[in-house]
Amino acid sequence: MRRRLAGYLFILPYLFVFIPFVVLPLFIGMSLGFFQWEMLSPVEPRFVGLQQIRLAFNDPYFWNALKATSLFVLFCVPMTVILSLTIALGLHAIKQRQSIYRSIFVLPMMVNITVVGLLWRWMLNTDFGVFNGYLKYFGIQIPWTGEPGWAMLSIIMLTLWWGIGAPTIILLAGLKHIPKQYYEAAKVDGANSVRRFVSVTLPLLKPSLVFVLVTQLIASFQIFGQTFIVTKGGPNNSTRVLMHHIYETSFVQYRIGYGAAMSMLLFLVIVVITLIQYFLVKER
Amino acid sequence: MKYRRFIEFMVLVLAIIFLLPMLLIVLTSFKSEAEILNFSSLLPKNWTLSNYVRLFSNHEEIPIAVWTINSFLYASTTTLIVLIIDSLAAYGLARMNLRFSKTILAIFIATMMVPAQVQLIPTYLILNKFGWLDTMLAIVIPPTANAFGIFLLYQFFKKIPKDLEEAAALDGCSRLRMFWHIALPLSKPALATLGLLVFLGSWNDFLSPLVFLDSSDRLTLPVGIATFQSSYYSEYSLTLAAGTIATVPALLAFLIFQKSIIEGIAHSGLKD
Amino acid sequence: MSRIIYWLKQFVICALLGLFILTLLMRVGGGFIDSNKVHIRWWNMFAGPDGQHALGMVRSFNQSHSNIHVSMQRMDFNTFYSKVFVAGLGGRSPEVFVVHADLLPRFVEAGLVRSLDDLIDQSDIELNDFNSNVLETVIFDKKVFGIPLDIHPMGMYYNATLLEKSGIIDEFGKAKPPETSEEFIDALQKLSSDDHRAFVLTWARINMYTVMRQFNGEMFNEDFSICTLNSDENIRALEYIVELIYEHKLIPKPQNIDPYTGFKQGKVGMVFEGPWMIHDFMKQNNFKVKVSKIPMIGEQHATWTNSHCIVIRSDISDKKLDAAWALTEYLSNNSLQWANGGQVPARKSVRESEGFKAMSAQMKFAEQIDHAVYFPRVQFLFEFLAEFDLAIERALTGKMSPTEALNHATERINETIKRHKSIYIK
Repeated sequence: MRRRLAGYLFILPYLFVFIPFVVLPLFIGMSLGFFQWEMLSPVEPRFVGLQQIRLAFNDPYFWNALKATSLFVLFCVPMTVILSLTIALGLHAIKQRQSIYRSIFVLPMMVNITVVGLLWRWMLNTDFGVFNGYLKYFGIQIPWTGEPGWAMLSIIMLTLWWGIGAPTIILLAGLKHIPKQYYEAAKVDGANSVRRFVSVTLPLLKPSLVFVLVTQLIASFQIFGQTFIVTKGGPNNSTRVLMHHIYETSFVQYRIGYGAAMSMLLFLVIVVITLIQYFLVKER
Repeated sequence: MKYRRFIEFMVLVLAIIFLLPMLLIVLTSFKSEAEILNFSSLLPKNWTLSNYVRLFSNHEEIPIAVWTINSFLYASTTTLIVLIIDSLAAYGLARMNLRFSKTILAIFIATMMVPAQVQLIPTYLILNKFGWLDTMLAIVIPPTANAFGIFLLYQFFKKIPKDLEEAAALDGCSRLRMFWHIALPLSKPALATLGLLVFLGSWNDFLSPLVFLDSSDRLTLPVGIATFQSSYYSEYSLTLAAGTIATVPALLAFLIFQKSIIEGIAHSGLKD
Repeated sequence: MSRIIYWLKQFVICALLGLFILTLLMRVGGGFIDSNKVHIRWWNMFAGPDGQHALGMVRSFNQSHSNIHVSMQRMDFNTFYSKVFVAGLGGRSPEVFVVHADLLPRFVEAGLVRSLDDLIDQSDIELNDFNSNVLETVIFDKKVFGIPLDIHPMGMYYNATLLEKSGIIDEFGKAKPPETSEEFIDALQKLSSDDHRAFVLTWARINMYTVMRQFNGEMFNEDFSICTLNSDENIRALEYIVELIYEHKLIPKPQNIDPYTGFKQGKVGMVFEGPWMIHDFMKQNNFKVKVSKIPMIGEQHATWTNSHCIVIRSDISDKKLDAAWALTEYLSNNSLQWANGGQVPARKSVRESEGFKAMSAQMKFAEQIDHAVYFPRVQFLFEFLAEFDLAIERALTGKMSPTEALNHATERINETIKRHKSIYIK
């Protein structure tokens, strides 16, 4: 019994910050979703139940934002996983100068979003930017932020560049952990390199891959800074993601209650997707 | 052998692609404003330190030294607290045979999924009640509720062999001492990884210093850098120079600790 | 090698620890407040070069007022309003802050700002020192809620070197900026070439608002109960620009984030921009930049404008009120210093001073005050502008026809009016 108590004592310091700064804000934030509270209205907040959830379902911009977010997640997450896996495999295969290369891929993660945003806005500028400046020599001009499809691609490129570091080192660490004997055994059995990758690397890397997939999904659904600074949601609202819509609703239009209701929906979407993923992975 | 050469070549190509935007930031910060505008080559034609001089010479208007010290102070304090409370909690959950440890851990992990913006206004109201707004506490304390750290360290502590602690228990070692003398030293790599990620997160955080701090002598680098740009105007030269400066400490930390960090993730129990 | 890294690591750890303790000590030791002074905070959205002039004014105010200390905080436009609003939630609004004239209705309605009539009565600020169209933006129910610091109408910047090269000149061979719609089209045709553009839409929102108002367009009916964004006049204005883009190919399709960059590079002949760009545009030394009035593209003169208004929080304590008003008065009286940043002082007396007359570019902006138009005075301006932006973007990028885009926006804005009425009016 005393032992148990001691165990909980170990958790206690964490609870001191967890309760006031995670549980309480979450509870308040969620309950705000049931109130119609417009900050700049002289009318007091009033309880409206699920009315604002219904409002969100009838709000074309909510659906548009959900669509933009899903599109981003759908393309960015697999691309992040594939690219980081490719880089990790490459880094793993070379023995010399590995730490230099590794640092290069982690480097962008350390630049803050204000600077990253400014840099990419400049590089992507259609008429006067760095990319099109070089592409001109090939006679190509791309409307990087001018067309919905290209704008989304630009945001994905930026995100890949900025965020590839963390998944790469996680996967690299996973690769380092696979015992060499497995490969040697596979070689003896006459498996070629593709075969070895499919039957040794992938299964043994699965936990790392799942971890990367889950954390990337959670993070991607909450994408905000990149689109907010670089494309400002345009063109034609094509990169106006959910967090952006929620931010504008709460902090520009001052509709706190409605913003909270939509955040709640976003939270639910993330939880459902994560659970689906969890069960899909568990089955095998 | 040829095959390996090819891989290294591919990695080199990818690395160059990833490095170019970084080089663009650093090299451009040595260009004059006019040269930045009319981009013609990656390398500056006339190297100039004028942007850095402007950044450091006008202390009243751009107190970049103060911002840097603040950023450093906030980030390192947050990191220190996270390391202490997360490792304690993770140890309690992993090694103390608590009945609900799995459930508690799951609850902690679930909070990682809450969008940050949901918490902004409630956190502001709570901090206001505590009287912490516009103080260091407002920036340092809320992000210390870091579930990711508990998750990471939990996996690590789980792997510590039981006999080590049993032997210590026979010697009359208390739980706290076991934690301090056995668990922590064995998990240095994980602590280094967690420390770096928390430090970076705090170092680059924009929203909370912006909303929770008022006094300009308490602001941080990212918020300070943002004042070089207005909605319809951007000072590329100053922003890129300040961006370079803001990146250096993070880079140094990574280069020095990177060996421990890779080990930290390798052993973090992501295997199973 | 690993030995070196080991020692390097030790060194860095020690150095970081030392720095950490040092900064902690500095924090604890420093930061005392001079209790003899009244401290007030002034927040504004003067990020970028504007902020330097504002800081200069605060500095001289602090020097000349020994009993008051003002600390200024500047943020960019978007974050400023979010922050002011969150601060208001916690009862921590700054004593003095700046609100754009067109957003004042919302702040007044929410009761966040104080009426200033009692203070104005006792001071030497005369209300008739402001133009009537400027003054009416700060009056609600016959009460004054803010002191306009400046007025910043949009003007036309032109690359005089480029205009002269393209033969758009007067009888002396100097660049002659277009003033009428015929001259504007003529200039567009003469300036278009492979290596430069005649004109680009920079901030499409204010560019288009200006053109619509020039075509006699109104956004709402008299009492703001019905949105008239899809009126024939507005559709005609939008179609006019859309035709210049797609049929005559004289204006490039807007697809950029920072379109003014091209002007700074000397690759664009003319842009419509606000006075906040003066410093940035004028410092180009490989070509000449000049300012003129916005040409009359439509049927009448009109140009978008806005003002920065100084406001005082509504629940200010008596002790701080005097200091807050002293600052407000000081800023208004010394708005000539503010004009250095590019803005046009709101007070006529300041504009008539020799100091202002020496600022030739600012004078050009000032000439437009009489036909300068603000955004509609509605409390839901942000919601209106969001729809407005989307509609013109859709039309200008060819995603929808002007009629379709404006109809769609009008429908949404009318819904907002309904919602606003149901929630805001008790």
